[in-house]
Amino acid sequence: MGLFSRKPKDSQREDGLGISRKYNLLPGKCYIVEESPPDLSFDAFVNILSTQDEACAKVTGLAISRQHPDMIKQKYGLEKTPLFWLATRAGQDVIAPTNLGILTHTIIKFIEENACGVVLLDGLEYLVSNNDFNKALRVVNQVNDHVAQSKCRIIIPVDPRAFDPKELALLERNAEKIIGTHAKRA
Amino acid sequence: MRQETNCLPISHPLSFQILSGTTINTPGVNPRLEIALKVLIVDDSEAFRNVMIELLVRVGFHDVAEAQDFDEGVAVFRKERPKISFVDMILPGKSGVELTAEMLKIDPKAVVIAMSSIVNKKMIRESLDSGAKDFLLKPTNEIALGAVLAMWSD
Repeated sequence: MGLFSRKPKDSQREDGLGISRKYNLLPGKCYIVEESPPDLSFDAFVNILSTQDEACAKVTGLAISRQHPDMIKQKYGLEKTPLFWLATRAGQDVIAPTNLGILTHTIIKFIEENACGVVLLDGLEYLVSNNDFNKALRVVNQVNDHVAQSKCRIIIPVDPRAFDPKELALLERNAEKIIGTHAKRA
Repeated sequence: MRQETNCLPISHPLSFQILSGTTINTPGVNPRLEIALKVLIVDDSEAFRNVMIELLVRVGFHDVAEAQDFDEGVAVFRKERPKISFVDMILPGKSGVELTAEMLKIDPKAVVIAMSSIVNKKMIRESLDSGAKDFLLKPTNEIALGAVLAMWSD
């Protein structure tokens, strides 16, 4: 394991659940989902991982989130997908929000090693608050460049209340925008 | 779910394709989905039922019945004979798996969609084994709901 990377556990495919594909997120695209909490993003991520893909036999995932991996595993039933926690604590599956290099490298490495991967990057607001917007935007753009050259997809939930219109426009400049829910919970 | 426009262009990510290749836009009412098709929601949370009804109306399903538990679910199902039923897997008393089996005993052609707020693979398999056609994670959204309805409303 290199100094500047977090080695994801072997990316294995989640077991199919026998349910239907509900989200047609195209390979090679970056999706910015305006929502809070990130329910739609996680639902799409899990649905893509749990269903057959016409283009790829093996869809693998990588999730980086502010939510603790144990909570994600419990709620979304992800058993094989590598999950990283964006936090300031030390640990193997933890990425510090100030370590944008490690974060970028981890995602790019996953994209290069998984032809049909799907990446969920949740916690952009946390990255911005620990760095600044331009640095966080650079991460998104850099990752987006790699996604565009692959069959991977990346889903980035953002809370639009945490960004001003210019920042949102810059984030969505090279991405597909999805308007999700705002604090509407059952 | 915020709506910017009533109907989004085909290329928008909110549009999705079902297996037959038909493209349907959400949000926005699609005339192809505006059919007199009865839908039942069984969930013990009134707030969730209200959200579901709002979403169903938005995607073109106006004939919606609701129930809060197994007994009421069976009674409403017998009376209304819905084509599609959304059943929460965790209900007070008997479970959604038992309700699914009971509904399909009454009408084997009915379509039951299991719902839950967690992805419990064992529970999902049990519900599919008992005859449910699909699974929806709660809280749901127009994209997922629209996809399920497009898939199973024919």
